[in-house]
Amino acid sequence: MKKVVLLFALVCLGTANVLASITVWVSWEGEDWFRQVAGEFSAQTGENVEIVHFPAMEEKLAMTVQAGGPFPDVCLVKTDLFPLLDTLISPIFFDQLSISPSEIQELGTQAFSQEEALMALPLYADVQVLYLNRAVFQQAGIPLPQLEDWDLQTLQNTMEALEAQGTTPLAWGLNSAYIFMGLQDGLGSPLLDPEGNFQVDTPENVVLTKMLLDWFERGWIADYPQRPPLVKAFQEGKVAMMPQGSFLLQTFQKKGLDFALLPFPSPWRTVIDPKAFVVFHPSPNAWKLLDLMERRSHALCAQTIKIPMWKTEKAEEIPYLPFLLASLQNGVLQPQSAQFSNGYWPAIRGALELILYEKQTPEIALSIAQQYIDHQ
Amino acid sequence: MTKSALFPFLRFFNRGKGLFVPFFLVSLFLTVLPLFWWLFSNVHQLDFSRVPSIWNDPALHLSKSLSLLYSCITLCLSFVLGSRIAYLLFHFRKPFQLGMSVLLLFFWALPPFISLPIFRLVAAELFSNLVASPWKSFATICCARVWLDLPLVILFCLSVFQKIPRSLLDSAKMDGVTRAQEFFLLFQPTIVRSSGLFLILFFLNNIRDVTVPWLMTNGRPTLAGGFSPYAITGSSTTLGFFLKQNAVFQPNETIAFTHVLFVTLLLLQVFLTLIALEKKRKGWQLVGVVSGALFFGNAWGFLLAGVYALACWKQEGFFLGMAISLEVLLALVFQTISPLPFLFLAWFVLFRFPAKPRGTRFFAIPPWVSGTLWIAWSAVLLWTILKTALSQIDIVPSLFGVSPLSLVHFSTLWEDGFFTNLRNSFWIGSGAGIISLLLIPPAAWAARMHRSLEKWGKGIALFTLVLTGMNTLVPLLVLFREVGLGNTFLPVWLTACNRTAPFGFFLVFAVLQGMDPGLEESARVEGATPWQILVKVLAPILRLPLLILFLNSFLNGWSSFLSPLVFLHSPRLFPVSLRLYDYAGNSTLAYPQWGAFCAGALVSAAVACTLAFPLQKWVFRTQPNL
Repeated sequence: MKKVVLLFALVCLGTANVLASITVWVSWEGEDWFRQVAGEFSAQTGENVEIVHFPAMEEKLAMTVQAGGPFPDVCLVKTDLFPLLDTLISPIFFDQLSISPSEIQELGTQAFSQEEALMALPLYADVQVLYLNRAVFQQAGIPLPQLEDWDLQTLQNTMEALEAQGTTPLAWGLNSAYIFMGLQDGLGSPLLDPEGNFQVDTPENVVLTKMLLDWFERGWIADYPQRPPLVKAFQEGKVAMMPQGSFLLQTFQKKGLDFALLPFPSPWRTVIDPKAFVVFHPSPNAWKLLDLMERRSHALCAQTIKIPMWKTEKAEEIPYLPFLLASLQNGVLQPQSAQFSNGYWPAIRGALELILYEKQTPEIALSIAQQYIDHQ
Repeated sequence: MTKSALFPFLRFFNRGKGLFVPFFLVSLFLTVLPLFWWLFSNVHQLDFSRVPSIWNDPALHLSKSLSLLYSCITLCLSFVLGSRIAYLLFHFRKPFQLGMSVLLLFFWALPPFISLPIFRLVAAELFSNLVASPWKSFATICCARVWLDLPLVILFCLSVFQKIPRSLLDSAKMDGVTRAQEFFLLFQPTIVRSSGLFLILFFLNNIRDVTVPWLMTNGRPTLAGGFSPYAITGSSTTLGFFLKQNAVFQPNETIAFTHVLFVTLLLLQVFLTLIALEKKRKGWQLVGVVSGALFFGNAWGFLLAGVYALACWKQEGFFLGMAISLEVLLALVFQTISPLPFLFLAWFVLFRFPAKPRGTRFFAIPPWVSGTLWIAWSAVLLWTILKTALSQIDIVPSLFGVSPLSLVHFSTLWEDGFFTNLRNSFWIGSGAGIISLLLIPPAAWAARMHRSLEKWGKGIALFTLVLTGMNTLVPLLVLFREVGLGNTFLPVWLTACNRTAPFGFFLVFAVLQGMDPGLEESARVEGATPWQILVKVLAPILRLPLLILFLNSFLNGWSSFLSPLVFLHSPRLFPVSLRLYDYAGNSTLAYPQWGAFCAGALVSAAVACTLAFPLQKWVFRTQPNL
């Protein structure tokens, strides 16, 4: 028994962790790239950098914020996590960086500024695009829509033709606020009312949701509640078109899938999803590390097909960049407010499920959603 | 300090009460302290003008009713099917028993964060959109829960069957009893007698289940009655998932705190009522019924309330019948009903279900059907895991398709440092198991020796069971950080051990209670200290319960996801669960790596299964070889 206790005590001591000098929490794509740049930084400065990739960043940050820490030195976040952290992070001090504010894309500044101070250092952005499976169109004998005459009416005609051939024309997780937001901003009412509150209960949105319901009942759009089965169905040719983020481009390219891209048909707007670094513990070396990461970010963007948030001279190395930049023109930024993350997002999901599956009238469903948002 | 000053202290330890102290202190630190911390640090959030409307939030009540129904259905199905499958297994020949025990242990050792994504994937392939209708979604989570619970229930029933004397089975055979009669007269009463607290633990765990709705349906689809200004409830939103969605990420602290408070009180009320029904303590039953009336539910439970009142009248007499009538009256006034009918339904089916061999001609079908279904579904999942792990592609191949064999996914694991995760999981599981062995059996023995400690022990175990969960995780993070133990395995070990504590305490205590006290008396007369008696006399006899306790704790640690996510911040300490979740566990991933996920799942389950394998030797120890 004594041996067991001794061994146990040794293991306890053995797991005691020696903290790294700079800790960076990351999620999403590019884990290897982050490690590579961190290694380069350590070689240059002699300071140890620990890159921690969290698979469930939302849960991790929510719990850590509630407990008041411990926070890393630097963390990669997206706009909907931003409201959770805005009182805990340091503004970006450009005097500590070798890069200047004028080098940031305007979009990045817009996404992460508060009261004219930049609170996070933008890294890259994804946009939503429409993926088309060429093989499905070919088999159905329907020509691929062309950019010149690409509008909502053409989309509807294409869906009708595909449906008549027994193919699922368009699919996504129909309750997704991530997709609905762009639909609302283009085809419904603006996301924010004149007082700056999120609005969903409007006559324009009622018309929009009725249109979606009509598409659903006609079999033009199908619901894939989770993304992996949707992507699989698209790859296998069971779905002709899907609106998804540009983060899928690198995978489809690697897999050699024969696909085409189109922007969303106007006025349906694409949602822009930028990521940025926030700094919890500002230190000279943390700033230097950020500086290096931003300087090297074009490689990450080229590897993972992202829109760089920094003006780069190596833009031609990034595949699809001209197309993605063109899509940005019809884009809407994910707002950075708690009312969006905790109000609009779940409320829209609930309302759409009620309309599509519970046969609730759009008027009632949107009215409940509005009440929910207003209570947050 | 003189010896006389130390005397009470020494006497306390010499009498064996000291063995209870570590368990008490750890429970204090892990359960009581975080709970009060959470309560007092949040109580100022209560806005009393809004509390009544949040308390009566229809979304919360719908989730409550759904959870109780879910818990009733899954518990009844698990036990009804599990006991019958165990009965079949008991009569199987040796090679079949061995094969089945491997399958059982494999799926028992496979953590839900691995098995459920595969379950979801295969189910979606066969039945398309799992959340296309509320009933389909609810049925999905019920099936997944029953499938997850069955291995443990079967193992539990098999271990209970060891209590049936061989002579009794032989006499029954000589008297010519049929299989159905044998089951209803000998096996079922044994299960009912032995499973009281075990059933209650299961029931409570299923009420606050987070994992199944999270990984299977994400609580979807939203129900019309479940969309309120305060929260959103779908047809598969259990109370555990409700709290995760609506309380943890809820920025409005009044709403969040009131929701958590409601759920905590509800769990306490459910637990006390079930205990009162089980122990037939009428005073407590009345308290349970009246307090239950405070937790109003939706109106469709009126029918069940009628059944409840009638059955109580018949079974428990006039007193309880009056209490039920009072509850129905209150429910009528408030246009709604309490959870009591659900609880009674669960209690009635589990404890009062006719032990007489009624309907025996139907008996022959369910064990075979349920056994075959469970084996078939498990085999499909195992086949999917094997096939995906040994293929070249990332997406899961179709069930009947052919893909060339490859070990590429195993080399991905190697490159990603998966074996560091494996080693960490092993340490986490072992640490949790060892701490449980060091804390729980001594405490159970001290409680067995001293009646005053028995009450404390049971109270602490129940308190831990009912009141800890998502609400205590954040205070624990603060506590461990403040004592300088953040980012070590210790918090993960202790939380896994704490999760095992209720089950472990009752298990060891029940076995100790059934033992002959003469053995320890003789050791005491020989001059053995309480610790020596425990280690040298009792431990060898308690090998099976101690092994079960260790394995349960080990698997809790091995498969833990939330506590490593919350307490650990260094990838060098991350266990398998975090790595696999990163591959494919997260349902919002753009492009999951199913190949690496299945390869990792296979390695992880094989390690856990190998460790659990010695258990089968004891489980099938006295099979009669018919």
